[in-house]
Amino acid sequence: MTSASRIVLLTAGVACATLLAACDDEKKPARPQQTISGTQGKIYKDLDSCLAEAADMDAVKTCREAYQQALDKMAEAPQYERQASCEDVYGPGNCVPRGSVVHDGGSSFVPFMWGFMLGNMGGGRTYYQPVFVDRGGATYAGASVVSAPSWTGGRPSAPAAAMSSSVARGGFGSTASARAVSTVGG
Amino acid sequence: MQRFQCEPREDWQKSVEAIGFDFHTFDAAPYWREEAYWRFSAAEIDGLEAAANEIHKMCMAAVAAVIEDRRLPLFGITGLAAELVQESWARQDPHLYGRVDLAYDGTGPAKLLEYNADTPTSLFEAAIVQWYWKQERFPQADQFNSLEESLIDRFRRLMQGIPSADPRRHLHLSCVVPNLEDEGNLKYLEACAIDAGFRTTRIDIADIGWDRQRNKFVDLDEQIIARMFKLYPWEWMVREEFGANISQAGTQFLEPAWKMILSNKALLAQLWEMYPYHDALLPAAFDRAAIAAQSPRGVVRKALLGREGANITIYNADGTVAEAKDGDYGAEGYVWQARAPLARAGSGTAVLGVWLIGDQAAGMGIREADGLITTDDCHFVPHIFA
Repeated sequence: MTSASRIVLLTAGVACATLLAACDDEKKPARPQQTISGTQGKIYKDLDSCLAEAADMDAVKTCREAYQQALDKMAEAPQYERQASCEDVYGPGNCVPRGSVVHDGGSSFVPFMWGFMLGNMGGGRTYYQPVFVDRGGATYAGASVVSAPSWTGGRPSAPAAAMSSSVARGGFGSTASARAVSTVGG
Repeated sequence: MQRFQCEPREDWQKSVEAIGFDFHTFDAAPYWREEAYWRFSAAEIDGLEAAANEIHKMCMAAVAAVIEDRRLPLFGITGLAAELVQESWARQDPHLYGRVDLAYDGTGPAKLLEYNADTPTSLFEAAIVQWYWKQERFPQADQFNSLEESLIDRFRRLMQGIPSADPRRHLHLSCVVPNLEDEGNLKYLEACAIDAGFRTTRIDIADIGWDRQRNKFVDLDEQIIARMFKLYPWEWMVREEFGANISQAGTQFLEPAWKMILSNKALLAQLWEMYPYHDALLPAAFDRAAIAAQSPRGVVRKALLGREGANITIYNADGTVAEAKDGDYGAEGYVWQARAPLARAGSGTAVLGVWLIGDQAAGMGIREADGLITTDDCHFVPHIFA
C-alpha cells in the first residue's frame, strides 16, 4: 500500500463532505489506484482461516497482527453519507455504520469487511489491509483492486450482486466445493 | 493391437504447451505419456467404432425404456431429478457428446465398462494433443480421430433453424473454477462452438445467477443464459440451491438432463436385461448372485454415481478382493458387473474411451492405470492405426 493511495482515499472523503449529493449518486467504488496481483498476498476470510494455516507461533502472531491492523484501517475505508449509496456499490446488507467499526466513526457508512489481506511487498516487507467485495464481485484491498485473488476460508460469492438487482448467485457449485474434487469429469 | 515403447519428443512439454495443453502434468507426474503408444489394425478400429455405435444405440433405447417403464427409482432418480429427466426427454433436448469406456485387448469383442455421458473429460487430449503427436511421429499412419470436425458439425446442427438474434445462439460454458483440466476441456469445446458460429461466454459454476424477477439464469452481466454447456454433474445440480429453478428457467442444457440415465451405472444392469448376452455387454445386475454364474473371472461392484474410479471394488473369482478404491459415493446404491480382461499396459492396464459426438463414434483416447481401476491418477497414451 502506498501512501499515495491513502491520500486519494482521504481526498475522496473530503470531496464527499463538500459535494454530498454528487457523491451519493456515484455508483462506483473509489477508483482503485493500483492493482495488486493475487500472488502478492493472501486474503483470509477471517482470523480463524488465517490461524488454521499458521504453521508456527510466528505465523499465529502475524495473523493476529494482520487482522488487528486491517480492523484499524477500516478508518480509511471509503465513506458514504447514506446507507443506500453505499449499498449501491457493495450491495444491500453489505454496509455498516462507520461508528460500529471505527471509534468516534460518526454517522457515515462503510462497506462490510469481507476479509483481510496479508500482503507481501517483497524484501520481507508486509502490509495488511481490510478487504471489500463490491456487488460485481471485484475484490479490493484497501483502495487497490486485487486481481485473481485467492481466498482462504471461502470467498464471498459476489454477495451484493445478488440482492441489489434481484439476482442471487452461488446456488450451484456447493457439492464440488464440499468435496474438493480434482475434476468433476470422468 | 499392440503397445510399443518409443522415444518421447525432445521437449515434449513445450510441444504440447504450444498447442494449449497446460494440464499435461499433475503433482509432478506426467499425465500425458508419449514414451509408449498403441498401434491398431484398421479392422480393429472398424470393430471398435461399430461397437461404440451399437452400444450408443442400445443406450438410447434404454433411456426410452427406463422412462416409459417408470424405472427411474432403480437408478436412484426421484423427485426433481426424475421430473427433469422426463421433461428433457419429452422435449427431445439435443445432446452433444459422451465417451464409452471399453474393455478390449484385441482378442474378443469390446465390452462396455461404463458410459461417461454427462461430464466426460480428456476430450482435448484425444482430439488435439494426440493428433499433433501423430503428425510429428507417424505422419503416414492414421488415427481414430475426427473429433474436431464432428464437434463443430454438431454445434452447427444445434444452431440450425435458430434466428440470428435469438439468445440460443449464445452458448454459456460453465465448470468449477479454478481447475486446469476441466477448464482445458471447456475452452476446447468453446473454441469448437465459436468455429460453428456461436457467441460464447465462460462462467464459473458458482457465478451463475438466478434472476428472480425474470425467472431466468443469468451470467455476471445479467444476460440470460439460454443455452449452457455445463461440465458439472446433473445429480449435484439438482440437489443444490438453484436446482429447483431449473425447470422454470427454460435454459437448454448440454448435456441434457436425460443423460442422468446414461451416466448412472444402473444403466449396465438395464442394458443386460434388455440385451442379454449381447457381444458388447458384460453381465450386470443389481444382485450379485444374478450374474455369478456368468462371471468366471470374478465381479466388480460399482457405485451408481461413482466418478474417477471411486467406490469400485474388483473381486476375484474366489471372492477375494483384487483391488478396491474408496470414495464419497455409494449411498445411492451399487451395481454388479462381470469382470472383463483389460488390455495389459506394462505392469498396468488400459481402457479405451471411444467418443460419441451426437450419435456417431468419432474418435478414441486411451487411458492407462497402474492398477486395475482407472482413476484420476491415470495417464493418457496416444494411438495410431495402419
